[in-house]
Amino acid sequence: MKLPPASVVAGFLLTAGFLAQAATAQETPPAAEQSGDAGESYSRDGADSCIKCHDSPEVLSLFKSKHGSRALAHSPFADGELQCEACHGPGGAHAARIRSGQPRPPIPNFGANSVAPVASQNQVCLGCHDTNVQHAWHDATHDRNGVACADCHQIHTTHDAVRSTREQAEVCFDCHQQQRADHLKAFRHPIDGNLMSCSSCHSPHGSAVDFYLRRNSINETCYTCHAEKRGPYLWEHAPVTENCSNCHVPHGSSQPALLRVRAPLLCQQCHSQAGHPTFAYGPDNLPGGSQPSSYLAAGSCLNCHSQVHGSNHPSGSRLTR
Amino acid sequence: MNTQRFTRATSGFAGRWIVLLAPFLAAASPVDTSKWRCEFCPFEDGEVVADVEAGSIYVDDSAAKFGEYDGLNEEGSYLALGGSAGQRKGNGMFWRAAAEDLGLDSRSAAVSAGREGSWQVDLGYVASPHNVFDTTLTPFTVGANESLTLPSGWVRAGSTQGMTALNSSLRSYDLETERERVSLGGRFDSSSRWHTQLNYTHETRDGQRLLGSNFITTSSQLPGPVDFVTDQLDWSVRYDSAHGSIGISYFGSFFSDQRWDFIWANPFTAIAPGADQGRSALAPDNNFNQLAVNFSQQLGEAWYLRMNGSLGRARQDDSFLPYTMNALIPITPLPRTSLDGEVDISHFDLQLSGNLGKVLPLLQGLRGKLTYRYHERDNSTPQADYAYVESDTFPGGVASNLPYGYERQNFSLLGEYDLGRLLQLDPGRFARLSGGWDREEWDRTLQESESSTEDRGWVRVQVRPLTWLTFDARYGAANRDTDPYVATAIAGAPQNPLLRKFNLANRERDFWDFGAQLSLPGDVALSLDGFHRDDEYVDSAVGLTRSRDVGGSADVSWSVTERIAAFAFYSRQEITSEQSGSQSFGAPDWRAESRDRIESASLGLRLSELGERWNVQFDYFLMDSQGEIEMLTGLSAAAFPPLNIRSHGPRLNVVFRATPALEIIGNLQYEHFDADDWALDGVEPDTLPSILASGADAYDYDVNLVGLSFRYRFGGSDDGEPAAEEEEP
Repeated sequence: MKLPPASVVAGFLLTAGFLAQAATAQETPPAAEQSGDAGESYSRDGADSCIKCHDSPEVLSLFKSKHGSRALAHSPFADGELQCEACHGPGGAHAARIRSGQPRPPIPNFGANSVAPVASQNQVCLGCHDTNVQHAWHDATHDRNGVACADCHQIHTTHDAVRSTREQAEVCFDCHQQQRADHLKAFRHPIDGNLMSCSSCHSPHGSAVDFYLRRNSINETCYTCHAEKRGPYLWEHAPVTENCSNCHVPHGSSQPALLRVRAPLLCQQCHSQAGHPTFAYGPDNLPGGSQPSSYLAAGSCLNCHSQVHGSNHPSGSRLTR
Repeated sequence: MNTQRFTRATSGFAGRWIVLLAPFLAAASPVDTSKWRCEFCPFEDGEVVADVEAGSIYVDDSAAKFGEYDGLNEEGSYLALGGSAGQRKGNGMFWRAAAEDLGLDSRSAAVSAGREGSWQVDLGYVASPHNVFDTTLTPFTVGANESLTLPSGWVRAGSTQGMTALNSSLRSYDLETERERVSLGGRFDSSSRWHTQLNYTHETRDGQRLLGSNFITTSSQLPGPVDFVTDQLDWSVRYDSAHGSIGISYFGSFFSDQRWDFIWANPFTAIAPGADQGRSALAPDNNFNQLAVNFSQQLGEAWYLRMNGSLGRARQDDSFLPYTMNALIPITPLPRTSLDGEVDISHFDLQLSGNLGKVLPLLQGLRGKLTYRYHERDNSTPQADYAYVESDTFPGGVASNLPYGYERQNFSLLGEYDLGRLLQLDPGRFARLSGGWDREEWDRTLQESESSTEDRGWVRVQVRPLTWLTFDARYGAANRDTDPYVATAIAGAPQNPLLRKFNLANRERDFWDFGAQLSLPGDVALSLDGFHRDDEYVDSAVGLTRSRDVGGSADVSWSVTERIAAFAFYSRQEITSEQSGSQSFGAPDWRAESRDRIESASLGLRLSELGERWNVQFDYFLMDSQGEIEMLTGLSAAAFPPLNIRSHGPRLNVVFRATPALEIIGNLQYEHFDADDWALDGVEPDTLPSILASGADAYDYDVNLVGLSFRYRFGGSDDGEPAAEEEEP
């Protein structure tokens, strides 16, 4: 069989290519869209397409944050990036002209009102925040319980409340109701001020430690602010060295010093030496009672045993020095 | 050319080319963003944006509890001063500064600067008070060497009633501490893969705390000094690959107590000659250094592996005080001059989680997680015999220090099965069944029980049968067994052989919790939660025998409109503990039951941008706690007076935007707090014969707060939004 001349073949291929492009162009969706991969359509003008309608201060606040930065190489608004559609997905259909009465195709949004599955929402965020956040997040409790990134974080804002020391607790309390109740108790940590917040002790994105603590144990976490209790002491109080929550309730308590139970009862749960540790102190032993006792009122056991976390005094074996 | 006819004529022909060329076309034409000019995008252009807030707060009464952590504890006016400023340039350079509550003891300030995505330096300052009690009294004054001395003319006596100079000598003092923390830190991202972080904090904490100080059977509640300095250093380097990360980190903590000891005069008649002064050791200096390695890796499509290991060492080597400062007691040489305390903390954890459906299609919908944790406190502090002196009064005997150590291992297996596929649920609905088993093993040194093992199992169901309704219920049980329990003598005084310390004792635990979330019409969200935890110390004849924690809450939030939101919350909880004791050092002959019932509630209303100018926040909270303790001795029962605490109050915050740059901020707050506490009520310094008490009363106050301030904004657009804040908690 005689082969066609090369010029003819080349011309044929060029023509075919042109026709294919032409056919593809004719098959291009309406003006607001352009092809991406997998058949999804992106907008024609990017963020300009979106801002024509979505120009509220809340939306435009994005540009005062890292997500709206041109200089940050991985920001959605860096050169060549997909701007609003980097997170919200292809917006061609959403931005396109629609017929009167026709519902506008939705575009994925985030948070409690989103119809997108939580996993899909989170995958958008984790696609960029693929550092230690993602690795800790995977299969952590928040992940397994279907918490969306946008349930805690606000992106279209100049002020993400969960990242504010003063306001973070309120965000956490939206789900952690018992901790909200604990925070209303009489004795509590100052987690709604400038000093500390929930994430001072906990890693909300996940960790391998109990209760998602920042440090390797409850005690190590407590020692971050209460370093004077670390020791080691000459005379140690054994339950103190194991777990501060043997005696204390860190989220809040009706007992002073965040204790589970007040003295002397708390101490008598472990101390039974003959003598005053084992007395059954009752209301008669209160000041004004028939047998007032010095072991009950004021500081109770701590009137004498004040070094309850440990003592470094050679004569401090009873934690009185 | 008629395009449409051309298209019809060529599309069939070209269509075959499209099929052949489609992969090429797709690969060769990603989304074309070259025309995405972002002309309407209001990028920041380097303009400095700042705001300043100044005003005044007035509190109409003094109450330590009201200003416990913010310093608004004294009646009077306070300066409300703060502000922020910042600039972000188009090249990524930025700086931010913010200050808050500069007129209060709870002030803070922070400065950050850097280049976004590249590096950042932070400098911060925060002060935080802790105010305790309204009135605390003492006859002591600070004398030479910061010791507590008694006034001239002081009359020692065997009881407080005999201290005739007591009442005339009393002076009030503030029981408060203040933390001041300065931090300097930064992070550097040398590439998208390498990340370095360094943070240094220097914290001082000073003030006074209540310190009990005894001479055998008499004691005084004294203003003990707090003068702490803590330096901490956190440093980490991390490398992120496409599917994993590896990092090393260092943490160092260096604590120093600027006071070594605490000396006070004995206000009571000395029981033995020479017991005129007492001396306590204050918290010794310590340091802790820890090195850690962490690793995570996604293994294929199905598995995630995380490992973390660390080694740390805590050291303490302060010189010992002598046994006593009673000059009449013969000096006994100390076995050593300092503790040379050393504790090694080792930690390792490993977590493997997987989507088993990606491994075997038969297991579609099944996820699992396996966790192992090891934590060791290896205490190599030297042991020695100490010929202690009982509270500077008389020789007590010999006691050996017990350097406690332990090893703890946790094994945990968790599985979760997605029933949605099996039940063919529509999107937006789900059903999951999960369960787990944990085992915790302890090995301890120098304690009554050398080892214990606790097994815990649980099952959980999460169901969303309707798109607006979600249920969640979990039930579990745990059983802890300990080795034979051997009572240990402490300083010569043996324990009742029937006592079981609750953290070492056999225990049976069961727990359940449930939750329901409803999304109701009209943008109303309702959430209901309940829980029950019950621990029984089945073999504890003496000690804690049972503890229960039961509660529930309801929370409703309503987005009335885009600008109006309301919410309400209610919670009720009951915490009970039961214990037994023995006055005869034998079988239990008394029982005590302690019960706390706590109810709390809050309401809130948020009005945003009403009339484009008004923002209003209204909150109301209520807390009511009732504590009961009942003692049962033989056939008689006696109840302590109730330990009731009630607190409630509204809070109103109104922001009015007078002009685009000027906001007027008003605050109104009322708070009521009253408590009944039999340990404090009516306990004056001389109420207890052998305790010179502080005279502190239970909290009781009604405080009103009024605040007015003005915030003026410089620069920025008219959208009313200040510069971005990204402070790290």
